[in-house]
Amino acid sequence: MTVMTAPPGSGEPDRIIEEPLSEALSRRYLAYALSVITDRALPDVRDGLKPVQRRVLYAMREMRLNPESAARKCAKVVGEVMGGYHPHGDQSIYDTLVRMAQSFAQRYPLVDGQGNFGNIDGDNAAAMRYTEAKLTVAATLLLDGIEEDAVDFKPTYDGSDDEPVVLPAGFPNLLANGSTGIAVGMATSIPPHNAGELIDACLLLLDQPEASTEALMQHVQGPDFPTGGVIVEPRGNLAEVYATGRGGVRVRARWAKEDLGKGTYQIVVTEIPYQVKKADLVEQLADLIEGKKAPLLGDVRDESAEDVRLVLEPKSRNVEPEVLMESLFKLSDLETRFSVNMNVLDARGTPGVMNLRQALQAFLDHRREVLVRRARHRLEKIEARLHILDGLMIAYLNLDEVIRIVRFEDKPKEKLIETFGLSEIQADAILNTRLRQLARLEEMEIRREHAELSEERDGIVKMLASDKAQWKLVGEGLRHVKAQLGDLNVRRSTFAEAPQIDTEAALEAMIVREPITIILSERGWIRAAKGRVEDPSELKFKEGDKLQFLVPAETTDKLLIFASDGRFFTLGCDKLPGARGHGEPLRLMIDLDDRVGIIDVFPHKAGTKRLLASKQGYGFILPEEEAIAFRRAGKQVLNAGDPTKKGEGAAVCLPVTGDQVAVVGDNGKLLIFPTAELPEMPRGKGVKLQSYREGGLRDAMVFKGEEGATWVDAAGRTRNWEEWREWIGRRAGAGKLAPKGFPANKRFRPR
Amino acid sequence: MERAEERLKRRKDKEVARASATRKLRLPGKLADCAGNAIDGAELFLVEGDSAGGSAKQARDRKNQAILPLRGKILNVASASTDKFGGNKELSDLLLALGVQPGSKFKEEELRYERIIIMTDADVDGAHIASLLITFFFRTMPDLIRSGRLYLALPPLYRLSHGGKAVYAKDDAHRDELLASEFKGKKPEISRFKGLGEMMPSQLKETTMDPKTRTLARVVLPRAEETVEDLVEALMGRKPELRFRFIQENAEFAAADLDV
Repeated sequence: MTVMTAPPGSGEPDRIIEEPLSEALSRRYLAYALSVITDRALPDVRDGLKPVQRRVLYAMREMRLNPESAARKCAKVVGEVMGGYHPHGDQSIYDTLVRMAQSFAQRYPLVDGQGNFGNIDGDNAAAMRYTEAKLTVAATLLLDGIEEDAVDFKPTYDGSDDEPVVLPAGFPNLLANGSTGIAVGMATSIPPHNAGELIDACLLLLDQPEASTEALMQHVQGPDFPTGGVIVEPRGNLAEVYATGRGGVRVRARWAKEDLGKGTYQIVVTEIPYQVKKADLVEQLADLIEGKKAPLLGDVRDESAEDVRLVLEPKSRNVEPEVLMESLFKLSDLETRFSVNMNVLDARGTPGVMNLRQALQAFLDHRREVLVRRARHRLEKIEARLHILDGLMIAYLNLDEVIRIVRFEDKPKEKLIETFGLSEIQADAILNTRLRQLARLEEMEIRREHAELSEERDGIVKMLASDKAQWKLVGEGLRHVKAQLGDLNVRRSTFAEAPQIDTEAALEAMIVREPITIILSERGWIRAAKGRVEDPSELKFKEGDKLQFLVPAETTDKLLIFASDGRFFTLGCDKLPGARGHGEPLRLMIDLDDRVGIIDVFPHKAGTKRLLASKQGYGFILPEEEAIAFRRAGKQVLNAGDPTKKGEGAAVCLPVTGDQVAVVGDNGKLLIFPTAELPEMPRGKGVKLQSYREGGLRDAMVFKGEEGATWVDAAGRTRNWEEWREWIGRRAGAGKLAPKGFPANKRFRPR
Repeated sequence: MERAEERLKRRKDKEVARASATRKLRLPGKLADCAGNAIDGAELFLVEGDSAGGSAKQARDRKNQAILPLRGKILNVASASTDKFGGNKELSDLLLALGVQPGSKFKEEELRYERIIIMTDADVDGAHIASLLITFFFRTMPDLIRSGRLYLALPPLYRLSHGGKAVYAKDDAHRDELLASEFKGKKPEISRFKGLGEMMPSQLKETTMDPKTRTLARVVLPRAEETVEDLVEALMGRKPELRFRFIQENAEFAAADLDV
């Protein structure tokens, strides 16, 4: 940076320094990014808490809001946290507090909330002036030992107090409660687990430090969500998640079938996936019914009270409950995927993705650190007490002399120190002894306490010298914690394999089979009328539009649409809009350009073959199955060139109903040859049907030789064509001019 | 599609132009404009949050200093759609106060102020807001930066308090000087300065806003603007992996700057 003076003449005494934009931007942005990463959004691997959570818990402990005491107003807690430790918005602190109290959000709630703390429907908690809170037993386990110098402290933001850098963390909270957060350039997402299982895995790791992920998974099979549910992620995938710290876990709602008699039934959902708001889920299911996206589902009712009870009624009792649920799992949040990205801050505050073993090991290392620090703290206390006891012992043995000194000496403390060789602390302890306690200054008492403390001291010293003893104590502590968690250790989420059910077939089976008539207008509006249309002239269209195709079909059919660029599109006939109104533009359902026309529309019949031909005079025979493609972009079958150019594009699409093909060109020449001369292909350009000097192929017809050929003239009269054999020639020949009376538009059937 | 969007945008721009041509300019209500009409010497302070905006209004020189408080984090224009940008109230207020239009319609002579001064808290969120604002100006009106009109206010770094008295020091040297004079023989509590809202208006005036005593940082563009464009895209764009790489590469030297 260079210091500059203000431009001459401006008369301003401003001091201005120059800062290049890139520096101004990157310096500020980095400060923000790193702060969010290291001090806001990511949890510490040791206690699993983000700074704001740790501050809330520590402040509540300082306020003595222990499980056995009375709860206090959340506003008071928030004020304490904000004023003392966390100089940010009050709402974000309260939201943190609320979340830690929600039994459906936290596997092991750390805050015991009184009042409305929100619910699984997604309703918010009451304002903080109404609600009250105190710590739970789980929270006290996290805080246990914090006053015994178990962890480092740092000055708070204003330097007026200290706050812990990490909590002693009695149980593996990171994995037990999980964590989610979005930082800058990275995020974290850790599912909750069963603390009992995690502790078992920790104990295994203590036993066999080299235990594999596979071995740890004997205890930790997968996440354990506070909302229960059924985990359907295959075990192999879960192993991958735990080995890498990344992946995803699919969770499904827990449901049961309730018999209603006479073969009818309903489905009751009792647990929904983690982090799904029930009210939103119900709305989503209702939308599916409304939008006809879930044809198997009849109705949905939320009968929940304290428990979750979501009633799903099938459309008909013939629907298999498994099939119904399987289809809903696909469509709705009854099944969700919890993505896993175990991005955490390690003990030195560096962010990184950890796997299961690394996370557990980091926790165990932390526990040992806490154990050692607490032991050292206790050792100091014992040493100090032993020192005092030594002094008291001397005083007891020389009680009369001590009394004399105290009574008659000017400076009794100095005299005591001088006479008995005591330390200042010892002398103070003797002088601080109350008269009534003189009686208690008994040799036996002092000796007993001395012996006890000495023994404890020796034990601690020995333990501090032995890694093995330390790890053993860590293990014992964890076993004890597991016992304290009690009922909380009962697993809520269970594991199952997702059944392999072809819901597609089931959905098809649900479509009621009835005749319909598909109406496609020239401008491309499509609709399906129920039953048969007797009189097409009664059909109504938009102004300037008129009928192009009228296709009888059934609701279970697949509708095939052949476009002039050689593509086939497939639509389910049941999905077509009803005939009330003008229907919907077909081009909204499929990716079809305005300039591309439609050659033919027909329901698919299994086993049928079709003759496809382009205007260029090439074609082949297509087995109809090859045309089906439920994609918006359709399937390119006939290479017919660019339909927007003259003389290119698809021309005909006919069912192969006979052994002879008749083709007619723009030049009016006819050629007939056996169908067998055409190849059967799934896609391509085909072979040449007829040669033209000018123009291209106009129309074609397939007929049975023994029945004879016919054409239909413009007036709709069928004309027999007795002498058709005279036009037989070889394929790709030029043919000869059409007979007298052949329609002037050179087509076998009027369009 | 893109062309259609552009067309719509152009039409909208046109409408805005017409509207402001016929109607009188309506300034956003939150703006505390300066009394003088002269553009020369007029300054617009963009202040983070309403709580600091209040004291800034009292600390200003009404003749040539205007205050516009911005609430919370402004929209990141580098990753937002045109739609979102157009519908954003904070940014449209800002544009209205500046008297200009973004992008190709920007005309420097329409600017209502000579200097635009970004004044945010000295904490990390303030740093974020400042970087969002710099991005906004760089993306929508780079000419404003090219002509050296964009500044960053430099609030003091330390707060020294003893007894009932609190004094602010703008840098290390100033702090030492204060320790030697004002607090001679005393042990004042020294803390990092956090937010503009913690100062009295008179202190804010003296340390940050009064041209006689303040220091400003002028944002300048290097000649090779493409490198800046790349940086802006990496930091503020839509791709998190670029951000991640940047943080990885630069995390170390930033640790010293970090105050949390």
